[in-house]
Amino acid sequence: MFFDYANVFVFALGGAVLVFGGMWLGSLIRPKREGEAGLEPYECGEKPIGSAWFRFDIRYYTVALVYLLFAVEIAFLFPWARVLKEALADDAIGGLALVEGVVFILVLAVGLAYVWRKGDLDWVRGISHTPDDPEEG
Amino acid sequence: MSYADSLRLVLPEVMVACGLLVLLVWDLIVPKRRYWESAVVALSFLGVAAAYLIPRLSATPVTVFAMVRVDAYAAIFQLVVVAAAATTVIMNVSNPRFPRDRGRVETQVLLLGATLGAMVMVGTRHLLMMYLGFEALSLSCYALVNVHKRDRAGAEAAMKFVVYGALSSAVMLYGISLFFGLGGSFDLGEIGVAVSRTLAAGHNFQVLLPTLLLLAGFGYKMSLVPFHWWSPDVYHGTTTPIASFLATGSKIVALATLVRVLAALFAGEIAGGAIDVASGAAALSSMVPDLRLFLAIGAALSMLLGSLAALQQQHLRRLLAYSSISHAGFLLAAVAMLGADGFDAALLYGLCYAVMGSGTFVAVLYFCNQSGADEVASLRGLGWRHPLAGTALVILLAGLIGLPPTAGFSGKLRLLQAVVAEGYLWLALIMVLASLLSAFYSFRIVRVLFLEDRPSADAAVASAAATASGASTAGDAEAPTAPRRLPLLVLLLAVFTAATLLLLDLDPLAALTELAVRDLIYW
Repeated sequence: MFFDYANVFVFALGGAVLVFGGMWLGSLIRPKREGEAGLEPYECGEKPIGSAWFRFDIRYYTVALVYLLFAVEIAFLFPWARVLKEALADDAIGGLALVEGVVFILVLAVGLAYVWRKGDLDWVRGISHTPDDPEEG
Repeated sequence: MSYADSLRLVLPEVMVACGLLVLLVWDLIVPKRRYWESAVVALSFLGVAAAYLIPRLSATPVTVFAMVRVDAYAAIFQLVVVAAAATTVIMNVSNPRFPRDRGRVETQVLLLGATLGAMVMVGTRHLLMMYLGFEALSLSCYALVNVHKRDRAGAEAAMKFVVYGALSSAVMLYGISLFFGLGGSFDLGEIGVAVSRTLAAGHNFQVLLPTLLLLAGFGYKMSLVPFHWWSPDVYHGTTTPIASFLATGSKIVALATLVRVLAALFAGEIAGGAIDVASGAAALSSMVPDLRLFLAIGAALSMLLGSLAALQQQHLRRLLAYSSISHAGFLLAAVAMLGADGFDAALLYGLCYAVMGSGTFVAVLYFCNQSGADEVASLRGLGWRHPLAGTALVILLAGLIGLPPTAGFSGKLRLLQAVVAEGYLWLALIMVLASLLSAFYSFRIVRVLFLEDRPSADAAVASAAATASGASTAGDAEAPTAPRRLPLLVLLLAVFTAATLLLLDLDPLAALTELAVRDLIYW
């Protein structure tokens, strides 16, 4: 019975291989630059030590939301993909299963297109001066 | 029922979602965007959704995907929220604030999102689905309150809205999780069975606690005391059209959902008295009177606090916010009776309030357009220059007070009957008192409109003649400054005022809600 837990170990091992293997592969091909900034814990450039009461850049929230878009997409598409074949064979559901999945992806694609077009994917937007925003900045 | 047939039953929601997506894409690909074009797109999708909903008013109830409840009850209130959203879209077109704002297509998108959330919320029998709708409605409303850039008052309002909203939504979620623990299911029917079983075993507190936690969320959405703090600030800080949506669409849908949840949770208790006479007395738990008292106290506080605070307000939307808190108290008073009659009266008055409240907000927007300010004092003498709109506002305010020739009178009468029938005389007295208080603050608006600072005697006579004949807007011609003609607002105002007067006879509407409520209790 306990042998069933072997699955868990294999899973954990696979996860570890993916993480460390990825880091090792990356170390082979990325350029190496020594320096202060590279040693800081947060790659996004926030100061790791000091008071937590300071203003976060609003762009973190935008990026987090866009990330959520994809995270949720994956979370919902996994179970869908898992049963898709059976659903397609089912007379009551049939092609609708595929259509629904595509509609779901399209809805999220609209969201992605929206943030892209509005420039929220560019980290360095600078201080945007659009013609109808004379006072901004 | 095949899968495709089930999907067909959620078409109204799908239509609203389609409108939302079309507007988003349209915003991206059309270079020169005009606000009224997006308004037309939003209105047409809302219209199609309404067209799908209307036949359902007489349809037999079905449950789709074990979650979505398609019945007349849901259809009535989905229609209300669709109408409220459409009203807001039209009001936005005539709103003079932020004329060249880029955020305006987003206004439609967010409004459709809020509508979708509200439709899901009222049309489900699954608590998580309901919570999902609740959050979609809330999140869209947070953004709607501050959709305009560089609007500091709006930003402050939205911040307060979010903070209170997050708190009460979390409390409500906790209540839902306790109900899940009680019933082992999110289905309202199954939880209702578990509630009856628990109450029969005498574990009252196990039901009372999650019910009260659940009420935090609904109390917040309906702006009931003690969850009302946000509403004056938010109504003040945002624009009149959005405040109108919060006060009518959002509030009435929350009421309808609350009634659905309470009816399902205490189905055994409510029906027990009526059907099962033999064992009814034994089965009826002592918890129901407790809950009744809790709700009645909340209702009384809302009515009194709302009416008293409104007396001193100088800002029109802030005044209307307190008035709306008071009206939420009236609605809760009838819901607190936890019986079919009370539910029916509350829902009927909710529908009346949606009409009268929307009308009042339209009138306020109309006058704010004329004066350029939102203060009560800025209405000074405007009644003489715009006699028809002034008269309409007087009629609508009379409706909110509950004076006879309006829907407010017949609606409040039914509320009082329901409350007195259960022996809650003190609550009925507070309702009368709150109505009297509301007459004071409403009369203040009327006084400023008509009685203070008349124009010259000749002009006053001419305007009075115009008011009396009621045929022309002769008063407008004599106004010193050329008034802005806002045909859409005038049209809306006429519709709501006419509805307020016509709904004096509530019986046709009552026939509709009575059936819907009975279906709710005996599902």
